[in-house]
Parts: sequence; structure tokens; C-alpha cells
Amino acid sequence: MSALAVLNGRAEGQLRYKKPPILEAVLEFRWSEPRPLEALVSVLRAQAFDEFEESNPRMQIDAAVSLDEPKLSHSTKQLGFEASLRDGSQIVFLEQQKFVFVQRAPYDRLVSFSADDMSALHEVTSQLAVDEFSRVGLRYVNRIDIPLGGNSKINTDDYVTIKFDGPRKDRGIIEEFQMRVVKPTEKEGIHYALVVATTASPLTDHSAILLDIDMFTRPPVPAARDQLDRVLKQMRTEKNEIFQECLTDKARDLFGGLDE
Amino acid sequence: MTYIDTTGFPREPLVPGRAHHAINRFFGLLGQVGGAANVESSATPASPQITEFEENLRLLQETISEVSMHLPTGFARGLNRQFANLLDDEAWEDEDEFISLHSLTAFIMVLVSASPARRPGIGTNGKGSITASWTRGVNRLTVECLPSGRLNVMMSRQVDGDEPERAAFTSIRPSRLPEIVQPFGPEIWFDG
Repeated sequence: MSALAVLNGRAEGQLRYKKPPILEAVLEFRWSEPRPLEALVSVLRAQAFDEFEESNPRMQIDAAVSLDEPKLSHSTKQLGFEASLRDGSQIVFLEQQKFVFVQRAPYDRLVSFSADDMSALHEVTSQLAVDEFSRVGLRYVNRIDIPLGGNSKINTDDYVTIKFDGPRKDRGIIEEFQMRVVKPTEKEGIHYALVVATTASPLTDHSAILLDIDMFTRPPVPAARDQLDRVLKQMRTEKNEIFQECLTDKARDLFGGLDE
Repeated sequence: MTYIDTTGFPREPLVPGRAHHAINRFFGLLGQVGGAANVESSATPASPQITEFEENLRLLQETISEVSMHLPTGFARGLNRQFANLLDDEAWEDEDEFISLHSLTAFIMVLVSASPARRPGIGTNGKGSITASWTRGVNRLTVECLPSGRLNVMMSRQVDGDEPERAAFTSIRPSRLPEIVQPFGPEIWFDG
């Protein structure tokens, strides 16, 4: 199973749209003990990463201000590396404590992560001797572009089932809407962070709603293939249900119909 | 009923591939302590060291990716490959300017408004523009997307085997392109 197969996998009965609103899909695997940077370099030289451009370091710059003797100090730390395909469609981040695979829009199932299924994650776990993930994340950032049709406002109730139910009935409109909720699912050990917000659309005469569904595990997950597969499948099913339950039919109508 | 205005969120663009970072940063600023993604916020300042070429290419590819769901299937991926080839630093002259984001916006508006089934060939004049061309035999449509956000359009169209008719328009708005080419039977250029 490739990272892309995980992201693209269709649960039974799941709908697939011609123009899915997915801006990016992210698979993330974290572990507890940091691995040395040299070991990460070795992983990225593996055949599984052949199609990726040469990797670049990922740096973290911290700045601190001392109040006693006013001065600004900086420290720089290398977290790991990142590499992307030449067409920019996929990015991998390999850091000392995590491996992240990102599929950017367009999101379709016609592309392949690599020639060998599962090879990239297998390289990470075998070369870095990771036998357990402290956290597995499966995240979809959706942006629903909504035509304004000559208006300057949209009614979010027409498109998403999440509403603001405040204590007062003031005049006028809500000018911004940003919500983030973190909650366990009914599946043991699987939680999610849901973000719904208004956002700008890159299209003229459109507004947009951001719908970000971030599924993640709380207890550690074994890196063994079959156990990991089972957890990822559960996460994907939960994610699909949450996505559908957040949408109205009017929102679905914006996705170009179903892909047969 | 929940009505909202069209105010942008987050305060930075939702760049595909890094949109989750932008969201994490925004909610990280609220000081939340629970959940998943906020754990990442400490790592979000990380940024790779990239060249000017890579930066320009990344910007172009991210912008195309952002609207890819509104383009015909396969367009975004193909265009991103074309831009990667176009921005090959070995073929780039020192005096050439990088492609302007305004030119790219005009180019995307051309694609969204004209909805061509065929992907155009692309080039640049070294002054920040994008030249998109659709060619079928002697029938040729060339659209120069300028850093001003406007278009220069040149057409060559043969009807009934006659000498090709030629027309040119300068400084037109991208959304007007379908209207401009309509009398010339644009299907010869745009249809698959």
C-alpha cells in the first residue's frame, strides 16, 4: 500500500467527485526518539525517493529578546529535509521525529507515489528502526469555492451543516467565522480536529469555506503493516463520514457531479 | 441563519502543500493546548533553503495547484510540468525576468473563462509575461498574458481553404477572451 493509496483509498460506498474541493491531503507519521540527520539523508537516497528533486534542509529559526540588556538573539536548528516532485504535486518532509507525505491539488487517483507501493514509508521505518508511531495523522484540507452571483455575502448554512448559535440576536451579519474543534471519534484511539472557516477564494467573484479534517491517533500505533493498514482504513472511513456530514447538497453540487 | 462576509482567513494565503501549516499557525496563535495539529506549530517556521528559480517555480506551481479543481482534468499537472521545463535555469538568460504572478493570474483567468479542452503550449518573452498558444495547422491562437494583468491576442484562422484571416487585439481583459475569439470559431483551437 502506497502513501497515495492510503490517501486515495475509497471506502465502500464512498462518493468521488469530478472536482473534489481538496486543496491538500496529508499523511503524517511521528515517532518519539529523534533520529540523527545523517540517517535521514540515507533514507532520502533510497530508490523510493528517486523521482523527487534533490532535498532541501528544513530549518527552524528561534528568536529571543533579553529584557535585562535589550538585545535580540537567534538560534538555528535543522529539523530535517524536504523534497518535492518536479511538477510540485507531491512533497515529503522527513524530520528527526516525523515523516510527512503531502499530495497537493489536483487530487486525483491517476498519479502514483512511486513505482513500488509502500516503498517510501518502508524505507523510513526500516532504515530509522521505527517500530511504533507515537502519532499517525491523516488530514484533508478542503476549500469550497462558492460563486457570489453578484452578492458580496454567502450564507454558510446553505453549504455546511455547522452553524453559529450564539447567545444574542444582534443586527447585521457575522463578518468572520473561524472554528476549531478537537474530539474523539467513536472508534477507540482515533480523534479528529475539525476546522471550519471563511476564507478567500482565488477565483474572482467567489468566496470560500475552509473545511479541514485532521484525523489522528492518540495511543501509539505499531508500524507493522497489517496493524497500520487497519488503523489507516478506520481513519479514512471516519474522515469520509465527517466530510459528508459537514456538507449540504448545495455544496456537493459545486463539485461537478460524481466521477463514475 | 448564519451569514458571513467574504473576509479572508487565514491571514496568509492557503497555499496547497502548506495550507495545513498556515492553519496551524493561525490557531497556534490562539494558544490552544489540546488537539493534534497545534503540536506542529513549533515546527512551522521551518523553511527550506531554495534558489530564486525554485522560489519562482514553486510560486507558479502552487498558484496553479490552488485552482486546479476548476481546470480540466490533467491540466494542472501538465502545466506544472511545462513550467518546470520552462524555468530550467540552464536555459535561462541572465537578463530574463522571472514570470510575473500577475501574468499567471491573467493566464489562469484565460483558462477558467475559455475552458479549452486542449492544454496550450507555453513560453515567456523574458519580460515577465506568459505566452500561451494553441495551434492546429495554419490556425494559430497566441495569447500573451502580460504583467499588467491584460492580454495581447493574435489569431490566424483559415476558413474553407482560403488564405488565413489574421486579427490582433491588445490590452484586453482576460475575462473578455471568449467573447473576442467567438466570431473566429475558437473550437479549432480549443476543442480536444
